[in-house]
Amino acid sequence: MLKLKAYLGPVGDDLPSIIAIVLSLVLFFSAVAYSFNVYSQKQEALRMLKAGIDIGRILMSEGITGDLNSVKKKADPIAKSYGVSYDVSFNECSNDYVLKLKYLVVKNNQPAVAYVCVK
Amino acid sequence: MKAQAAIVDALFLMFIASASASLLYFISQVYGSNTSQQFTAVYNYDYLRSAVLVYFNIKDEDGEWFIQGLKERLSSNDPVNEVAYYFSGKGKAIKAFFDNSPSPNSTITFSSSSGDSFYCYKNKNPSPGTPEITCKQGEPGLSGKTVFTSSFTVKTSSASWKITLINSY
Repeated sequence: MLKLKAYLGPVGDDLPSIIAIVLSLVLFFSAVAYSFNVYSQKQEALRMLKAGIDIGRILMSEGITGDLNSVKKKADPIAKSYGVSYDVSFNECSNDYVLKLKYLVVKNNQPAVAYVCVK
Repeated sequence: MKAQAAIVDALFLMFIASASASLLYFISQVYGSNTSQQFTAVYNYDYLRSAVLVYFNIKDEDGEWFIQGLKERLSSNDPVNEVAYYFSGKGKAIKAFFDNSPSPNSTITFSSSSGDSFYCYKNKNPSPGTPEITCKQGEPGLSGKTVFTSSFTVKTSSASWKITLINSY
């Protein structure tokens, strides 16, 4: 029987290069998955920020005198188009809202804070 | 020799995969930061604009229009102290601007057509007896900072005052 020195068999001989190839593939696909995840999170955050700013603009044009009902009427289609749920109120946003923006409005001839909350 | 060549090829692949992974990681970290900064700028401008609108439509503690009260103090001989006194008393509604601003360093500057200028800011740690809103002669040191502003003009009998609300970072 022919005996070759340091011959580990057909797979064994290529084992070091197989390990390196597998490691490379794992590294690459992990980076792709991680990047995609970060990208999705940032896209979501930007979408909410844009929705919040657009709703804030409605607040500035319609609700500067503290009439938040007319703000909500005009903001509903905007929130729908962004696919977010929101609230506009004089109370602080609850913790389940991701984005919280503050604007100054007039209430009883005094400055008041109106909150635009988006999730 | 065949096994050695395979290892070199695999190491080469590993090098390419590492470089690609690093590039992807870098891009994912940077992605959106510019857009986010732009949205933050828009929000700052909107906040300042809403503040300007509000201070034109509110009344002070005396039931007088805030902007009218401010105009009277700017017409005085000592506008710096008069405005500071007004902001700490009858016109304390101005605190709402400082307290709710997205910027930790909000300032209001006043500059007149006759060359006078002063600025007011909220004292973060006021000692007892000192007013929360402090006004000082001159210009605020804003060089090197990112600055967002919104201005309006108040005309008195002697001068025209440009009032600027500033958020700086």
